[in-house]
Amino acid sequence: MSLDTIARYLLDTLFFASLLFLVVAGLNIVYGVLRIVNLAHASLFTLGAYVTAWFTASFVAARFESLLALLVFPLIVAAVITAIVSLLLVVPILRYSYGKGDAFQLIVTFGLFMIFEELFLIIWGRAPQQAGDAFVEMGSVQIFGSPYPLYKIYVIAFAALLALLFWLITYRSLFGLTLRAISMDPEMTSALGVNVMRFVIIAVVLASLLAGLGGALYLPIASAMPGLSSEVLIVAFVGLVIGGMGSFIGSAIGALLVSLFRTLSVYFFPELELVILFAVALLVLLLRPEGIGGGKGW
Amino acid sequence: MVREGGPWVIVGIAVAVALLYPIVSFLRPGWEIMLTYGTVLAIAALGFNLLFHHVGLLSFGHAAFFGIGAYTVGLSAKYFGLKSLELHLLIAALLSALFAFLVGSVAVRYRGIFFAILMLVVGQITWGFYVKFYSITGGTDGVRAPKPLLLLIYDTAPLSYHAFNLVYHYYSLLWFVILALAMWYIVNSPFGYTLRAIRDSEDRARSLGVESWRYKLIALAISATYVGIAGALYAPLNRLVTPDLAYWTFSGKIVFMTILGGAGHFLGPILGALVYTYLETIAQMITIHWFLVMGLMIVLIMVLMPEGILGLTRRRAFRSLTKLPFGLR
Repeated sequence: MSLDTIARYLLDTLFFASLLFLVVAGLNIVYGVLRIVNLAHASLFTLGAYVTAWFTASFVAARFESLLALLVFPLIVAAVITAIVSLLLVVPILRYSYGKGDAFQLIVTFGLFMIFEELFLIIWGRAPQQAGDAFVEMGSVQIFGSPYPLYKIYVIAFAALLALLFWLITYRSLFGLTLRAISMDPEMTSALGVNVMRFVIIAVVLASLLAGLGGALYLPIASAMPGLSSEVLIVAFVGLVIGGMGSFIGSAIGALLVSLFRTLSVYFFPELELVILFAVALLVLLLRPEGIGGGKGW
Repeated sequence: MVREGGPWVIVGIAVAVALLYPIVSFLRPGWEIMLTYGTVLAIAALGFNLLFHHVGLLSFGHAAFFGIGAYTVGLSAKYFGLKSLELHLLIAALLSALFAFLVGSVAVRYRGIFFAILMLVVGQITWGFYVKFYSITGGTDGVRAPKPLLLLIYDTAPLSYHAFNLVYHYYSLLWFVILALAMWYIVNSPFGYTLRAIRDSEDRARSLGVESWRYKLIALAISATYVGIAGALYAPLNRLVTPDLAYWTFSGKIVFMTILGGAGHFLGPILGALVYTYLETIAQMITIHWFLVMGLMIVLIMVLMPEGILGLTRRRAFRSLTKLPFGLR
């Protein structure tokens, strides 16, 4: 293997891991504060992607020539719309399901997933929605003598920035401290005078925002279409299981490991992608049932 | 003791469904086949509910077993020219049970969310297999399931589809009665009691010397066998076997049927499956967006009537509706 192939492989892994991290981290936040695994979480990723495709194609690409507009405007719109939808649709359902048991939560969020799937179909139809303008405009850079799309590197940097911000909020702010306290003992936190529900709502909206941003960043190199939510959800679940539930480091490790094996299998045995991921997840579960970063709490 | 149901009620339902077929086909031609679909899906939902209600494990991957059953019929007919449906059912049952043991030996060690996620991923793996190995499975186009040989002697191939549907309805009902009766005895056996003891408190059951994972594994295998047989029965009825049958939203449909009828009742999954097929047909006549209706219904059922349709019969408002006048009972 030549040097440029290895570099390309590593960068692809990082690119995929950054997007996956945004989804897994969101799943982790929701699990942390509510003890709910939200089956509709990946639908917010898809929502972000659809909104970006629609907004880029119908507003930005026609009016603005500049790359900056292509990068910034769709992202903002996707973030705002995901947050609003999350507040109106996801938050009430999760709030109602709180403390009602695993089965209830899984089934209700599955219902939410179905609602999202069909709403996407009603609004955007079956045809894949694309808007690769930002990806094309950015061009590519030379890495060890062969071109690599600059957009992917931009996404890696952007996600790394988000992850850093997320880390600072969780571990270096009063807000994060409160969230971590809620994830450990909501009753005690409430007894200390914290309005737990308000924090939970903010946390869920933040988690949705991360997923929506992930979708918005993903769109320019791919397309939004039916089935995307399921695909993302399954891979994110494997990441969640490998990394461990309710842990920040776990989300990052899980996303990285999943991407590593996924990119490997896509390069060598594309048919066995999920089998390999599942085997890795089983291996991790057998060795460390709580996941690599899990078991310690936030 | 599981209260509702009982051998005679199961036989009664089967007789009712048997009698309904000619009536429905007279009143609304084309709608009678939903009764057959409902009967077949009822077997799957019964199997699912053994794990869901009696063990307390929610699986979002039971479509995997349904797919194994359906593809057993499609592929063995395509490659080996196997015609006897009983042989198909036997192979489907064995394969689903084997797969359940393989997956379950790891999965049943986990509860709640972990179990649901593991089964979900397993289901998606089988779906990916059907889609990606298209040279064998026909990919998303699927494989055809021809009209089979029934009861080893009755070849249905020369029949028209109209006649075949009629024959096949009663054939499916026969399997439904056998399997529903068997399930009734399973849930009322000491084995069934042990499962519910594990569900209510696994620690307590284990402290009484029950090797809980062994029971859970066997329950998963029985559950998978039911779903696998249902999948195999579904194939000739649907004539076409596609990867959709193994997709995780199909698992969701099995979950939906069960909670629609009422997971806490023995007859719930049966009623749910029968109601579901008509609900889907009616909804698809009104709107093409069936998933939206179904998603909304799932949320509403879980919030407003978590015990499903059969749970309503316990409510006072319903009782006063069904009360006979003049104090008659």
